Amino acid sequence: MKYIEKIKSEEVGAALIEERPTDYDTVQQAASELGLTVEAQHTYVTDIAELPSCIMVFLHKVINMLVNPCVSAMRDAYNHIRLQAGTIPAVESITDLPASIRSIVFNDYQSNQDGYGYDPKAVYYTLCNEDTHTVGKSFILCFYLQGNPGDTIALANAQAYLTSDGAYYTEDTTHTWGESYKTSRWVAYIGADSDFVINTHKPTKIYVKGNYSKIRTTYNSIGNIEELVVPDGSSVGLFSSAAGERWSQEVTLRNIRTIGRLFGNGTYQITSFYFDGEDIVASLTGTNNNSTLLGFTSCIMPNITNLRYFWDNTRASLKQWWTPKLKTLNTPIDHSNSSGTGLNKIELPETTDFNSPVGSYIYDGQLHEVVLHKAEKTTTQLIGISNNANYATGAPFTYIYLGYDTNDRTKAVILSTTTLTTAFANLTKIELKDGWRKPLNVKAASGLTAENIVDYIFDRLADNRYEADGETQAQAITITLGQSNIDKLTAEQLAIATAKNYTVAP
Amino acid sequence: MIQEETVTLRKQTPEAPNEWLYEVVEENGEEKREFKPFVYLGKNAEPWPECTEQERQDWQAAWNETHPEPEPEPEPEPEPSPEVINPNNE
Repeated sequence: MKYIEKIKSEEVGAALIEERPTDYDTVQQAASELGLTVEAQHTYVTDIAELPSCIMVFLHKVINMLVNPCVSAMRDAYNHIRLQAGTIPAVESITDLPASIRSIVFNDYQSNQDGYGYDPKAVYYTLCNEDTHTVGKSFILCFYLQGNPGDTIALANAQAYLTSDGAYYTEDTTHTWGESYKTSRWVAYIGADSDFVINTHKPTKIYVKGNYSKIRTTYNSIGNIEELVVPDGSSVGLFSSAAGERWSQEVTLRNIRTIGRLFGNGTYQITSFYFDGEDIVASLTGTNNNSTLLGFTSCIMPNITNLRYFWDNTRASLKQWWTPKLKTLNTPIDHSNSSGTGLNKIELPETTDFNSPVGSYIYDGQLHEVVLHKAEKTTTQLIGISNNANYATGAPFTYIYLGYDTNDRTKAVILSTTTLTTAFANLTKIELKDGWRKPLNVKAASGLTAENIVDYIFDRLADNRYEADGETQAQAITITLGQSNIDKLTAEQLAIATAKNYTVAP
Repeated sequence: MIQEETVTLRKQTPEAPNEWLYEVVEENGEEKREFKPFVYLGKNAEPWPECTEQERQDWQAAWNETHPEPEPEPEPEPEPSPEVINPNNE
């Protein structure tokens, strides 16, 4: 019995869909009654390997040359849906590899071998499209632009590997690159190793399918990582790149839970950084490649909750910072050190614990606004400004908003411990979230106006006379304003705070 | 009807010149003293304890021994060569 694949029509009756006949003659009759025409009869191809090789070649070329961008999005979505069904089983041996991978025509990928226009995504998506097989796989596809003829590849810690100019290799075989494969090379390491070390050559593009607990690159000869792709459905627990490896300007890291090490580089500067993982577990600068990122302008980390490491001395040109889920800050965001920051505003919606200043060693920067919606606790100080000389440039630090989370009165917020009178000379407005009921030290902000102190600090303080039961007298809370600010206030203005049971200290 | 309330502003200063008031606050799990020449006490606040200048200096010295001042701000670092190779990627 033949099956019909579809009926050509713009309008198909609901009854026909619901009671879809499977007999071709019945369908044809039903369609005829509805005035429709049957397009054709088809038989299903149940395995991609059943396609003639000429079709495979054709498809590879089409994907590679014409529809790659569209295919990329489709494949990502496709993989995302498919991989929800379960984890990818391991390849137990080379014989378990899907036949269609074996059928890849390597010669198709020899073109443009010396150029940078070569895009290995076609290979990647071909390899990804192996969902019809009962034995799946995971793999890491590495693309290399650099290297010399005669270089060899030995299997690292996968179960097998493919090369763009050869065939399959196992741990018993070593591949030697040919003379004509000087630049455009790829290697697909196939296996389910959870801790994968890429220790040959210099990968420029790395594509991952599967779930790896750790991927590291160790070859250290100034590679140039342009792209690291981990699509939805795949994941990497930790990614760590070798020292000295350059990254492309716009670094986008998705589906990687943690970053172990990335290197900024003075020559090939990272200009934007997107990371949707939760943690950075090691220094991003390394020890002997601590180059500045003078062109670093954008940092977006939507899921990070604890900022423990970040590039030091790299934020001179930073214009955009977005960490909406950041809870704990353990390293300064703005650490411009000497050349000034380009960041005009820092806003942290969820950060409660400031174990590090928001900014540190800010000289002559552009920072003029800090908005902290849940400034619950500071270990030492919120902002380390050494010299607010930037007032000369018209962009002084002038405003800070302090919200709170639980309003825990045992957690004090300290603006700064600096004794430099110039540090906050232009900070004229501090605004508390209404209902503030915890210790506050803004002594360093000696330039506050009386109006600001009354309207945006004293008036925002909650009534602290009683505990929650409304009867027990509450312990007084100290608001440290500094001598110069107190001198600006009248007795009546000071009494606004003391009447609500806040002690005002110089 | 307008109800008037008299608010008393209580300013506490040390009994003797050159003496200090202090408040004990918690800093990183440790008790630290914040010394002030005067304070305006909150409505329910108890007067702050007092100490002499010598006591303040002694306390400060003891504190500084275990809590050294932070390092001075670093000078700008020179741009290193990008061609640095480090084979260890731990």
